[in-house]
Amino acid sequence: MTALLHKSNFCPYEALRSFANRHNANNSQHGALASFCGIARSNSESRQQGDGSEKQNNEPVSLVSLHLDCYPAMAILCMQEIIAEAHKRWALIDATIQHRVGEIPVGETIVLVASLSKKRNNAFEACRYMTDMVKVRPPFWKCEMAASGQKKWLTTAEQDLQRATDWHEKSE
Amino acid sequence: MKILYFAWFAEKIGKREEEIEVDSSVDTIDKLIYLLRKQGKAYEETFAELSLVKVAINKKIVEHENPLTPQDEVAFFPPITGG
Repeated sequence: MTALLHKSNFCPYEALRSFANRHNANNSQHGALASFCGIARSNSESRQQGDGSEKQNNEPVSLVSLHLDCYPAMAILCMQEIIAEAHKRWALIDATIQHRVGEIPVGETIVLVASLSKKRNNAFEACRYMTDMVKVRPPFWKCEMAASGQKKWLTTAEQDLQRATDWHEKSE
Repeated sequence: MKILYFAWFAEKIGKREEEIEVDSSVDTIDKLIYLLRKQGKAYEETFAELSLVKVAINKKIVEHENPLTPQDEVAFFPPITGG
């Protein structure tokens, strides 16, 4: 299991190849590799301003980058916890969560989540679970940086919280 | 006590971490927030809306009523917004 924070741009394809190659030499058991790669978009989200200020401008704007603030030590622990939960719920051979932090220009990778298992269903489900959890649990805070120089700290996305709750309900 | 701030809390207060002296009477997060609010306008504004104040002690998220000791690392931040 690997939980990583990247302070600069990383290639998700290289990261995925290196993750899968770790098992090719000594483990021919895996038959499925599922992955999710999140990329910084140029259009802003329609979430409310999250800094408690009175400004509530939700007009869509063109972005140049995202700034992702992070509490690194806690984020790593949290991502390891999510991977461990995925291992408990599904028969996985390995899993990884790799997250970018700091300034992320539009078009660059924000997050890579991957899971390796014998069968595709476990790999798909585990990858989706880890992706949904990583959207709400590790201490990351997203700030949109507009081309105009304007910045906007986002609030929590309701649909992300709902997806996390849905997983908990499924497990009860 | 080591205190960390993240996201717009760090911007508003103007620092990401600080060490403060606290006496043994400051034994819950609530009491620590009360003490910090008296440090100036930036702190007062940051801790104005308590529903936006999330806390972790030693990297675990806790409630405001949680007990704390001077050896703890306390982090204050707004609600997590994900990657």
